[in-house]
Amino acid sequence: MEKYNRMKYRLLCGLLCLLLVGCEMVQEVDIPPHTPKLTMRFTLDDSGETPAGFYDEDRVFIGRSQGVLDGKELEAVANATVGLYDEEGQLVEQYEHIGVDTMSWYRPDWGIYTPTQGYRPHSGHTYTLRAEAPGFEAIEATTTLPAAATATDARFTKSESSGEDYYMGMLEGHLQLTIHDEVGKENYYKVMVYALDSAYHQTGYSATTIRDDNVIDIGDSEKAALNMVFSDELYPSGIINFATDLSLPDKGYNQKGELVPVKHLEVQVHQLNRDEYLFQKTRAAQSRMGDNPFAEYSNVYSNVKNGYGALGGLTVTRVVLDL
Amino acid sequence: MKQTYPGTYRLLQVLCCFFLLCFASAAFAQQRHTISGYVRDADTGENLIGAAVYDLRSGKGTSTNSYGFYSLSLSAGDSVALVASYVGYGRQAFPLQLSQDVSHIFTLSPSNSLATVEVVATKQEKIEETTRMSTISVPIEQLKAVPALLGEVDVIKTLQLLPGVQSGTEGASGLYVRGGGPDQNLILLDGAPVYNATHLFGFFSVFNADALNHVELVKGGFPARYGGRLSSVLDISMKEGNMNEFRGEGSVGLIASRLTLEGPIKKDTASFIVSARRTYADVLARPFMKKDRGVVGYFFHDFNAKLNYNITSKDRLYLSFYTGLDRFHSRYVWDRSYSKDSYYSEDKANLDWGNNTLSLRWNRILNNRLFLNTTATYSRYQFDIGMQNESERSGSGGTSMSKYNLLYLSNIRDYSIKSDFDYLPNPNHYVRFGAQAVTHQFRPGALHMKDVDDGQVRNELEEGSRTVANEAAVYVEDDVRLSEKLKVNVGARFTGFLVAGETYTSLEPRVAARYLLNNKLALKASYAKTSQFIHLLTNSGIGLPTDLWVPATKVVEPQRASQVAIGAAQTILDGQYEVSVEGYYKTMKGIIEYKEGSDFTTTVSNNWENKVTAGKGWAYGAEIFLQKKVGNTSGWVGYTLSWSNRQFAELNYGAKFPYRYDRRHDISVALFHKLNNGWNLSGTWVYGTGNSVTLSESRYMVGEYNVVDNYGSRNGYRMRAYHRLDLGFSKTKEKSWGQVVNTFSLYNAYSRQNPFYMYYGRGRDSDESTYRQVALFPIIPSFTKSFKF
Repeated sequence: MEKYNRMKYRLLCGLLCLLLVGCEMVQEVDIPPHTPKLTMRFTLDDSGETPAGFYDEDRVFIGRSQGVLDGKELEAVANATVGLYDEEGQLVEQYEHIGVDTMSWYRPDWGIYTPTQGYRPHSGHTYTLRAEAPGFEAIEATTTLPAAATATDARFTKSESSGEDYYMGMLEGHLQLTIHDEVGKENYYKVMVYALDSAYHQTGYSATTIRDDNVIDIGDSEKAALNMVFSDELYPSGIINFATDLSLPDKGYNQKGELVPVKHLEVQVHQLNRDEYLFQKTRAAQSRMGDNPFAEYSNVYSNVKNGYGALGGLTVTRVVLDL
Repeated sequence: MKQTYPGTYRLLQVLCCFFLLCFASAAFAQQRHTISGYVRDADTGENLIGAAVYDLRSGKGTSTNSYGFYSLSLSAGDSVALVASYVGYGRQAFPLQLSQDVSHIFTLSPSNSLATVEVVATKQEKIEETTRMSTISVPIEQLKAVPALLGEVDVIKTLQLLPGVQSGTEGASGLYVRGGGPDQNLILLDGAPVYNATHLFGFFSVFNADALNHVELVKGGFPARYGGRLSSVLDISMKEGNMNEFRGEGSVGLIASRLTLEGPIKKDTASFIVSARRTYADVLARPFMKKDRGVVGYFFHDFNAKLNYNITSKDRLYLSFYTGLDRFHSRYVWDRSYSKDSYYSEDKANLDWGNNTLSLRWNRILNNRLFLNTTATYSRYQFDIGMQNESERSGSGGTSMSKYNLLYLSNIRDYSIKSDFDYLPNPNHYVRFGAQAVTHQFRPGALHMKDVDDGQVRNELEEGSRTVANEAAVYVEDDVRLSEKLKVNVGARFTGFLVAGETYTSLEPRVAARYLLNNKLALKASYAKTSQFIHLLTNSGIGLPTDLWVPATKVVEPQRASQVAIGAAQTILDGQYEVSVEGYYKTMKGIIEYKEGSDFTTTVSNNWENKVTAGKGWAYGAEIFLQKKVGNTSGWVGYTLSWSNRQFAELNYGAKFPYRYDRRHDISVALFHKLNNGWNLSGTWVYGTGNSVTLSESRYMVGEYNVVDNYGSRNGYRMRAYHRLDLGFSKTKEKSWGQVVNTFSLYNAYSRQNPFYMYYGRGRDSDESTYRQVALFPIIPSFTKSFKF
């Protein structure tokens, strides 16, 4: 038996050595020099207030590009001037940097700007976001907010929970919803569900589809699914019957930070404009590609002049369901 | 009708007139008699394909067709000295006074060594004499002598050593012919198409060399009898089975073993051959696994079988079958008890892919100038993923059971019937005509999922549909000698394709000509138009089993190509060497790629059309091929200078870009040397410009933790150049019962780190982020023991 183990050990070591002989090496690539440009990312929405779940998209991010071989950590830009302009060229909103936390080791935190005027963009209107910073060419992007989606017949049927998430129980059930799609026009949607407490405040949790946990989804990426961006290409009739089994913690935190039960669900139907849809889809495609060195590349959509990134737009339709 | 051709009918009229004139000239020619029959191997009774049969006195001759049949019509009353010859065989003469039609079967004996003097004396159809260009046959024995990765003889890897043929990435068995894609090759095994010719993600081909009789690759100047693909035809014939005695051969290698048995069922009437190959990495690894926890394994196998039956002297039937499978499988068991509770779970997963082909062929000599072959074939390629989970939880709360099943599959099936006529009215004409009907069944993606809890179905999903397409084609071609110097192969193929109410047609003129400048030097030219009604959806370009075959549809049109080639061919040094130079220019349209950002991992039957974009392609270049077929030292040197570009309105901002396997320079050297004491030495060396690759040029953030790469022009960069030396040494020992061959080979003898793929990131040896290449195979020695009895 000892002889067998020794033989097994030697064989495995031999195989390992064989695998390591090939290995990898640095390849010199003659990449042309890169001139750093400003980048922006912002999703305009018509909510006028921070809706449940929005914690990042209502903040403008300003960064800078760098050559792929520069070797430095990517940085954000903290000293930009950022403004939102309407179709007449009037400044309707200014964004202020949240402040530099010099103790923070994560420098991209430095690129976040928040609105100062509380301006509420309007569906169907076109807006331009401009940003300039010393040492960089000014950048701008223009986008138009889409019409709001019409959602009816929302219904949530609670079912018996099949498990627990750490110390909290899980709330599970079946959500049905009808989205009325405008026929003859390409539209884009995303459906999300948030937990609310008895005061209709978010508890910090959003729902996930139950199928995510145990199914390799080889279905259609444009099929209506929770938390996924989809187009109306598979729904030519104008009616999108949305249905999903979902799950979320049955407790959350109220505004005082106390653990409270979930009392309501807020169903949000986002109607995205094409800029936002293309950005999210191509961003997801590039992420997927990262796992496959043989896949063809995929660039991420950008509508920013003289720079990179995207300004998108969406409208939010909310439906609140009592549990 | 999607496509119309101005002048289509005028062209058809011209071709009809041409063939009528040809037949009329044959009918009114002087009185002739015909000598016809077969050329066969004396030992095995196997028909010899492409053997030369000629009259020494008049110098007129022909060659055998794919079934070993020949027919030669000569002037009545002549004294004829008919000789049959074939490379590697002793020639055989048949003198006669031609006073009537004669039938004769030549049986040639294999010569142990390809003695130079013997072959020079034979009048094999020389490279400068045939009208065909861009066509290469590789003898099976030479193919087996090429040093191979892990000792596994590989037909396709040998073909990659020929000019105009490129491999994809390191070790892969894909074929990229004259700038075309891997889907543009028609790979035929006994007439049945093989849709995925690779095992183990492309590292080995599905063809077991022990079961093969003949391999021919056509890169351009396609004769009208071939159709359905844009870039090449790889026509592979299986052995027919020894008619005279029971024989066997096999080998034991590092990763696989093979065994082939053949023999007569009834002497000179019926024979069989069966051949099997299997890898055994899974079997060898099993002792190292804990079976109570589960097992993981991978294997592939191939099985070939063929029956060959001489019904009468004029009728012959062949039934051939191939099945091959790759399987990766795993089983994992979780069995735990906690006080009064117990939990048992078993997960099984499998990833399978493979081809099945079946072909029934009937040869009929209708008369001594007319030969008919009718072929019925079935072919299927299927890829599937299966996942199963069964779990049981029991305890104080009772017992609960759940089952989960998932099956995803994609397949393509072809049912085909084809009749091919060979008509040889006189030595100046070789007419071929025929018709084919194919039904394709496509199932690009189907999904079945079932989730059951305690006997109750919780989730069930069934997706995917089947598309049926019908294809029909007729063709006619004539290899006509217009003068001693000028010989032309002219023909046309007409194809119709019907899918979901949409009809596509294609009229494809094919012309090839050779003009003899002197006895040894010929100029050649060819033109071929081709159509392909099926597409392969692939994002990787390396031929993964997950790539999907789909038909042309109303939205996605067929692929079409035109190729023109010119060249010169010459034999030198007393016919020991053949040298050919060819230049080609090929245009392609209707080729498809995934759109940027398409989610190619979730493609199913009903949505693939929205994810692709159609574009155009151009490929052009020059090839030089110097070959020595005879003598103790044989081999070849090939060089290709080429360009291959693509253009899609929706890719790369509409700008033209190089194809992934655009390779400016490609050199291959293959040498085989036979020593007197049973030793054989072989070596190959290849060099290729690095594959083109798309790289990120800059990066930026679009929010916290959200890094985006900004890619440069598509395929705008190059990997390092590829070069590799393989060496093989074999020693043959004669035994009382047969022979044993010990082969030692070295793959990548100087351990060049050839790029397999590139990535951006930190390596194991440094914190600096940069581009790195990953090499796959260092020097790999292997040993194979083969036997024959």
